[in-house]
Amino acid sequence: MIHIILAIPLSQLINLEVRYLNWAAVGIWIITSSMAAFLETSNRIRKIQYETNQIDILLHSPTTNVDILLALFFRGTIIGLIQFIFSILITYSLNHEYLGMWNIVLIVFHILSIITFFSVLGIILGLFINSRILIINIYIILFAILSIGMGVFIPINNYPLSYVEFVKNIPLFMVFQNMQSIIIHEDIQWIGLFINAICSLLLFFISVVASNKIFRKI
Amino acid sequence: MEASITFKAVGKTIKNKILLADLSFGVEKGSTFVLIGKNGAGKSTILRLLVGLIEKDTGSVYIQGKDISTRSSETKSLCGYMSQNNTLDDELTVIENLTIYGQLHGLTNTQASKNALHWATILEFTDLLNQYPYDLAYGYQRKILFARSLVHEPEILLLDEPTKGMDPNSKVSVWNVLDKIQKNKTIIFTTQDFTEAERYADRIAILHDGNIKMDGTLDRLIEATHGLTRYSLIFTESPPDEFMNKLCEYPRVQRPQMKGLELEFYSRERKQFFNVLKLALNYNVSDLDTSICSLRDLYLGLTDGGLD
Repeated sequence: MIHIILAIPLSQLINLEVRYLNWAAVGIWIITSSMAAFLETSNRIRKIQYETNQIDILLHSPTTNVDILLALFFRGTIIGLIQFIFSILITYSLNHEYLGMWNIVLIVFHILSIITFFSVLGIILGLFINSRILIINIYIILFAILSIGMGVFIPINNYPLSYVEFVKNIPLFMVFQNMQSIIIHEDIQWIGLFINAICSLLLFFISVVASNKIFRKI
Repeated sequence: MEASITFKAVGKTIKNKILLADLSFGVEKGSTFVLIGKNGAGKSTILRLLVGLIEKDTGSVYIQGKDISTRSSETKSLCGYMSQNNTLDDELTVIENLTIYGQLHGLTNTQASKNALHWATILEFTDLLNQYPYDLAYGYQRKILFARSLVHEPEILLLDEPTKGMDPNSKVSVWNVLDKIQKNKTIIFTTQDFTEAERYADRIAILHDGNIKMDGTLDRLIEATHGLTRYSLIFTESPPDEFMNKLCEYPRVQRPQMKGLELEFYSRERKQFFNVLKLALNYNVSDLDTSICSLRDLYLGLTDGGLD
């Protein structure tokens, strides 16, 4: 859908040194897999915590909060990965792109970093927000920011310089840039990946601390 | 006797409301301990704290010598908990609710299914196993919750008003199960039903404002009233206020109360009763009744005040 609605129309407007549709395929992978992971974890934790009695059952079993959050995290990550596999298969067959084994390994490594970040983001937002409507609104805003504001469909050099300077400092953006560099066989910067992993870890730690109070409604 | 559960100076406050106030008590292994008290007295809080649904602010709680704060996984696996409200998962069938609960407590799928079927047979709800909880009557949901608390064969059973909302037959089947297992398990249950408490408890604790006002065996609790007797006089028409005012002047007549046409009061001296009767005979007394102070009387006296 994103390929038809976003990538194809934009390919008529944007000229790049490389074929636009191949370049934009990265954006499709990022958005579909990260949003799938985000929706899965945010909805699942809301369901456990606010919509059903599952949290009470989990809390009086020997399961710890970390176990619960890790299970949600892995579930979100797996859903995101499955979505990524579908996306890459579709774009690969549509765009006839060539990716070597090492490129695929690097892409998987980077997409995992993005998926894990959005899985944890889903957990932390789902913990604090019990309104389904609000979560959907946040999802739409995230979708818009990722599609339009992070240079995955519209090259970042088309934006004002001050905005570019700001976005360049976001670790997630560095990971997106790395993925685009892999596609066009350019060098990547590992620091973005590293900082993004630390951010995910930090968010997970915050969610563990918060869950203790939120799960027990104290 | 070996202690199964120990509370040491436990305190819990939520939003400036004191739920537990420096609470200390112990429950012996293999005994049945009953908590009675008004709504909000802290009965459910004690059980929820034991299974880790809430955390204490101060003090220590031990289950079989293990601190619940530092060894919660071990202590949780020792306990089977039945909550007061329906905590069955409506998206799972009854059998799935039971087996998943067993698996969460460390049983294999086969063991959990076997145990679930065993308790469903005993509690007579095998025909409901493939139904969803939201389709079932409240009494059945309670029965399933009770079976769920037993599915992983816990050593300690924590039951929050287990027979609340059940029909008499279901109550009997629950109590039959408890009768059979109570020798091997430590049971704590909360109730508002004094008959249940008197019938099944080894020890009873009367809880008020987050602390135990009195606890002990039923005999000991009754003994503590030192022969306090409940008297009631029934009138054909309501006596005037003047009669009640005079009654209040009798120093050893405790907690005199009019309940419709019935006057209820407590006293340790039979002579006081005769004095009241003599006075009441001027106002159309039709019947009278006397009984030894029961758990209900003791409870009302302690929680509502008025009894020494």
